[in-house]
Amino acid sequence: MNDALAQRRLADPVPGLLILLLLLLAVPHLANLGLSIFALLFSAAAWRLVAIPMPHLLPGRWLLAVLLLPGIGLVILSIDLFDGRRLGTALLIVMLGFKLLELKTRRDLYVCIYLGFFLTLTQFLFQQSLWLALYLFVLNGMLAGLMVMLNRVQTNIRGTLLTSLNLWISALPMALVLFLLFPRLESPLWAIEISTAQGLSGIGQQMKLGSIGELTQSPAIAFRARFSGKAPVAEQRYWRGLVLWHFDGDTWRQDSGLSRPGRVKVGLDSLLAYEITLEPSQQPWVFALDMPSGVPHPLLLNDDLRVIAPGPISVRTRYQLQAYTDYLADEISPRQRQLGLTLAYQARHRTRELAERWQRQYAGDTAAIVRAALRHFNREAFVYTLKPGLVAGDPVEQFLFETRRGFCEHYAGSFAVLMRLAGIPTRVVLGYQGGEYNPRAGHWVVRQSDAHAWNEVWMHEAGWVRVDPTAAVAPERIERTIDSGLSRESDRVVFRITSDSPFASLAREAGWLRDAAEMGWHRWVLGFSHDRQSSLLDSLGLKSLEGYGYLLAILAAMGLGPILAYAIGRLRGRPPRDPVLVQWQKLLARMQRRGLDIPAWFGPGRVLAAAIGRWPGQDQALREIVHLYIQLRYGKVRRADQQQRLKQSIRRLKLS
Amino acid sequence: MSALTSRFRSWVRSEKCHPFEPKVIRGQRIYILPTRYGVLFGLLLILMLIGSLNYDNNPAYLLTFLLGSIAFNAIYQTWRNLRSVEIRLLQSPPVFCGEPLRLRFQVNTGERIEHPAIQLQCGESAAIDDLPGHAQVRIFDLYLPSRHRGWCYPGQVVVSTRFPLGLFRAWCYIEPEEPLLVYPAPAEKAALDRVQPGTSSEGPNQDAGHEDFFGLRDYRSGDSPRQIDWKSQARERGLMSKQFCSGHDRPRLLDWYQLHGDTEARLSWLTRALLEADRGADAYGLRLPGLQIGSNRGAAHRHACLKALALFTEEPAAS
Repeated sequence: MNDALAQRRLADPVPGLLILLLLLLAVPHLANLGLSIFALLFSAAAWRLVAIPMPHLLPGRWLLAVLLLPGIGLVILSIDLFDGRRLGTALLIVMLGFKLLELKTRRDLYVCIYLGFFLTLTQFLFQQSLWLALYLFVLNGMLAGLMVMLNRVQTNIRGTLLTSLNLWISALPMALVLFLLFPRLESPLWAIEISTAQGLSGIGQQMKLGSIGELTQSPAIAFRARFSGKAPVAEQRYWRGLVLWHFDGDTWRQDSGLSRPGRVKVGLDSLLAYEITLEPSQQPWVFALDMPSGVPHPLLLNDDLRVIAPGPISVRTRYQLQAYTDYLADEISPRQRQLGLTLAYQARHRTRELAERWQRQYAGDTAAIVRAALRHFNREAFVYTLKPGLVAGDPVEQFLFETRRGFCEHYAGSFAVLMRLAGIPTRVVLGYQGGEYNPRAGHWVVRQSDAHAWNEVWMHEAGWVRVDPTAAVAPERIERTIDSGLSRESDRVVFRITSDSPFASLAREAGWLRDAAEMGWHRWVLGFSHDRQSSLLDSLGLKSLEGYGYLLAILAAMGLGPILAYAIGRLRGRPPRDPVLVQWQKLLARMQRRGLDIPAWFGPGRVLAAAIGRWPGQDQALREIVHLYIQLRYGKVRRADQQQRLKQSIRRLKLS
Repeated sequence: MSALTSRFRSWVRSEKCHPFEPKVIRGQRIYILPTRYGVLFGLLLILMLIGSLNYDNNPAYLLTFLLGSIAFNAIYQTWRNLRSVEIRLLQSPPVFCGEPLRLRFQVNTGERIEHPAIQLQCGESAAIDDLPGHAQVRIFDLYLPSRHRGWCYPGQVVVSTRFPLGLFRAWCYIEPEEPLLVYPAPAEKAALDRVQPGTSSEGPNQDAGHEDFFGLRDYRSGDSPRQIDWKSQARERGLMSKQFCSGHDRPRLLDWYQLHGDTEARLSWLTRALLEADRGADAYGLRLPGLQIGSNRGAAHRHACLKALALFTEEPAAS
């Protein structure tokens, strides 16, 4: 049973290629492990590469054993021993480094390739982005290609490539079915805790004047939403996050007392189901579409109708939610009424006067007072800008009567102050408004630049009603998204205009495709949980089959592989046909059309005899053709000029 | 070879194969098992699955299942790589006992796709090559030890492949049905001089180089380069010089009865004498108990004589 390949010398490029591939595979771990581990790996690789032309430089067994001690020491010193993932990975890399140094035989190559496969797996324990996965999968494909190369006698790059492609493509169906059907653990969250090192921007715990303006300069994605039915129109896409009650003259805060569960409100239209995928924010806020109607298990709907996750959202997380865009939120607790009317600071004279004037004028007609306030914002020379300028003294008074320049938090904040002074319970809602539709992925992308603040006022019979004073100043804000880059430079907020230039649309399309790919990866790979698996099986009708169904589907997928491999094998190139033979067969076909019977077993000699018998006049030409054919097809050397002559003679031959 | 393996070998069906008759390997005759790399790969997959399960990590699952599917597909691909390989045993020239017996196979596949890394093995001897497809042939030579004169059955030839990944080995057996002929080992040249029966020929004329070819002797310094037998050099028999003599057609009889000693020694001596006689210009004949071959010359005659020597069995009272 010996392997004749094992006795052959390894093909020269193989060890070098393998080392290169393994280094490329290890490189993403630089983000997770100390540099010292990598110094060890790279020096081992460099040593081994130098030893390819000079094999005597390879360390002996004893030297390796001696070197192993400092190697292990390095791991112990540079890695936290209680972090199993890091420790295991570091040991794996050290092992790989030492294995590279004794890379001599075929067996060593196999061990190194296997270590490379396992190293890929450890990468996924730290990071799972689509781009990293693509990079690693391509490298793994090359590792398998190296295995193919090892199992050939002659180095043939094209053949190796074709075989590995065939292997991977025919492996896909079975891998996918296994991936979809392999039983998953029943856990609410799909991912392990991955600490994301990057600084996170997003809505924090409170609203300070100017904080949202800062936030809108970030184009980072806050969350994505996918509606199962029709998406609501722009003026209904308010995603509520925090509800703020306390104002101290500068900062709006939440109320910690309002944490008892809220009740399901009455909806006036049909329920809108959607799925929201939140980017990690390290905050527990879930940005639900106005107005959420009840929430699934781990989430909490508070008294003031904000949705809270059980803990800070540290990984991309997906929830299924429902909302009424037209609703009646007609419950107010005494505490809410009290909070909604309280101002924890002493409002200045002019502000107070304005509010009291409205109160007197409209004699407690809430709707009229709200309209008056919005009219005030609309008529007076208010500017919607990210650069309100520095203000001295009371910011609300300064904003309302002096600068009149501000962003949504200025409008929402001062509106709430005015309403409370006018005796209307009012709160500030912090969240996002709008979002962009990705036609490639079918979902809505909401960015940090869509951060927004608005108000809710209490009206008799109508309950809590959403009022957006920003819309009174800049109605475009609701329809369009802010161009964060241009707004920073400009005096006023600049909205994004969809450019029609081909380059811009191409770039936009590429952006959407990228977003779609990333989301698809998260939706179908990273977020493929027990729940998703069950619903998928349900929709395929496999639930009732259970055990046998699994088995059948897996068997079917297993069968698909060989069928694909067979089909690919058939596709690979027709045999090169001998041009001489082609010419000869053309001639035979021509003779047969002219009525000469040539059985398949006739050799050239018999054909000649038969042909001369039929066309005695062409004796000379026929003899020459057959002679040439025999020379070319059965002779030792084939001359190009003879081949040309055969072709010409056959063409010139006249058969009547 | 362990007892188990040899029992398996005797139980399996091998394709009988005759010289020049193409044998196409059929799918149902192929055995396939994982190699030790395949077993190791299985362990790796189990380890990776445990890792994926432990961290419930979806990309890790995907990687594990992809590698697993590739390995699974490799079973088919390995089997496919061996199927429809066409093997043709070519005629093996007889050898003298002690010389390696060459089994030559012409292997090809009529399919369009290549079949890399096809290995042929018989005993300790193995040959491996890539078949390019399109009916282009490759020659595989296996060398068997020839341990005794007479018919030699090479036994099962294992045709195997580990392509594409080396994780599985597919193999099947073919068995050359016709035995190969092994001539007796010729005795030392010196023995020829010690016992020189029958008519003795004249010693070679060492100076005359223009007459009939007489035979070969070891090269001595001073021999003309034209005298050197380059074919012997190519056959790695060392440097030999051709000798010529003015021969007369003197029929010689190589006679069993003029010799003494045991059978094998006599046969061995006769073989050597026959070879020497064949190199000379004279016709020669052979007499064995129960068999006489008339005086003649030429390759066919030489083969007939050597075959008779190879297959000789001493039967009492046969003469």
